[in-house]
Amino acid sequence: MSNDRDFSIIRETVPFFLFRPCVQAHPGIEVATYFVLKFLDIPFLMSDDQTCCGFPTFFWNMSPPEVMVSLCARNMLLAKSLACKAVLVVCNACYTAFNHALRELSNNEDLARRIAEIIGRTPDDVNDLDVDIFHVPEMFYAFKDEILRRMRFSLEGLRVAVHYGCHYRRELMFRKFDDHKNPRFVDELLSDLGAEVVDYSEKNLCCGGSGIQSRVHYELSENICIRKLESIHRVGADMIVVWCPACMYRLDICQRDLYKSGKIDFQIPVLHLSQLIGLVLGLNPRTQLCLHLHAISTQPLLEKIKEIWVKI
Amino acid sequence: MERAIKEDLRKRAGNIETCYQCGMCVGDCPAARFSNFNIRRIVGRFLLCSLGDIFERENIWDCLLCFECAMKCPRSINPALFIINLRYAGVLLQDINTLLKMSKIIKFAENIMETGLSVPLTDNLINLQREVGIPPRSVSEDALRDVKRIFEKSEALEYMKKVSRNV
Ligand code: SF4
Ligand code: SF4
Repeated sequence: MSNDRDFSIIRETVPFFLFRPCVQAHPGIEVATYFVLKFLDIPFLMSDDQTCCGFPTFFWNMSPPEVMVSLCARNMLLAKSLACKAVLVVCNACYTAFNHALRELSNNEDLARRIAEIIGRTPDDVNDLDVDIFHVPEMFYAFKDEILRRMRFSLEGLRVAVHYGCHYRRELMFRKFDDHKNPRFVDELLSDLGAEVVDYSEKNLCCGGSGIQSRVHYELSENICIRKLESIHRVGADMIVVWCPACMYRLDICQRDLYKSGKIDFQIPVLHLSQLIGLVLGLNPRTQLCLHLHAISTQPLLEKIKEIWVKI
Repeated sequence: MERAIKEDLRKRAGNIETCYQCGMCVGDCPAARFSNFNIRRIVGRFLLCSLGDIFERENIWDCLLCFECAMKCPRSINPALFIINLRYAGVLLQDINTLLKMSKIIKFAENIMETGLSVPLTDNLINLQREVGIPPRSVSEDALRDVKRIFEKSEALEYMKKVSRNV
């Protein structure tokens, strides 16, 4: 199914510049990504010169559009200065911000000049960024052979609901790793790791977060989230996998709140894809994946993966 | 002033004039499913009415910016991006509803300007990162200086004042 899709370019862009997320309600996202990359011997760098990608400044209208493009360009130039050919993100918002900035710059000379002036670089620097952007799902897919070779636990018997996230599907429209209307490649990756990937009717529905919706329009946001969760619950999923700290916040922390207030009567553990891959590779669920720091206990999940049986 | 802003919006919205009101953008729109928000109607209103009319009669804040509409439009219009631009226009025109919504979230931009990150670091996070053995996060002085420069040079400070002034 995925034979015609070319993930191999991703392998050629190491070392990655690992882009650290701002939203840290689940510190395990970053921790797991770090340890999985190390375990798989995939080279990467990090830097304290990194800042936020600027997503909220444009997508939430908090500053003129140039701010986000400038922050992205500056971070990409930082990656380039460290001899990284690609930025690796763990968040759908970062993914969207960088890709959007690249698209804006690529067909607008005036903008490139303006951004160069704002960040104090030459227009040539900005025109010739030559840095690619990858997200963990396509990166893990590109390193599937290594994961299969080094896996310690199979996901056999585990019913997994995959949430791609709106902003990820939207970028697939341009990045073309898969069909953005019905992406399957992560389902396929997880099936290869033994999981039983379940289809559910609201697979493409937003998590309800959208960053600001939960602040400016709580009820709408909550209703969307409930609809999504119920659809996942109906098909009997043991867990949900996401690759965005914002979706994770919504589906884990808000799910717990919905449960506490009696609006739903179930709790489904939510993992970031990096954490799930880490489990498969046998990394320590507590010290390398931080699975004890979730709102909804991940313990039942660990018990389901028969061989693991650890208490976190 | 409104005329100029609308003209600018029209330019930014690119091919929005080619909208033939087919409604494909509404079919899977989560905001439409859970409220009476209708993106087709808003695009239509933009083409026919004044901006003031939109701000008065539509709640443009119901949009989740999920881009589902942009994935569906047969004319390759990007209604979500259009909504972002409408909200910018709302700030410029000092639309009170826009300003009220913005005031609830402007903190994130202030965070970025002051700390380089949209959510400031906490001791808990740093301690945890130390404990598990990943490099503890920090933002360098150079980075902070660059971020300040970006906010200053792109006139973000004036813009952010427009948001907080009237609320
Ligand atoms: S899908 Fe496109 S053409 Fe159809 S109503 Fe929506 S914006 Fe207009
Ligand atoms: S971006 Fe807004 S208008 Fe478009 S589908 Fe999503 S909620 Fe609806």
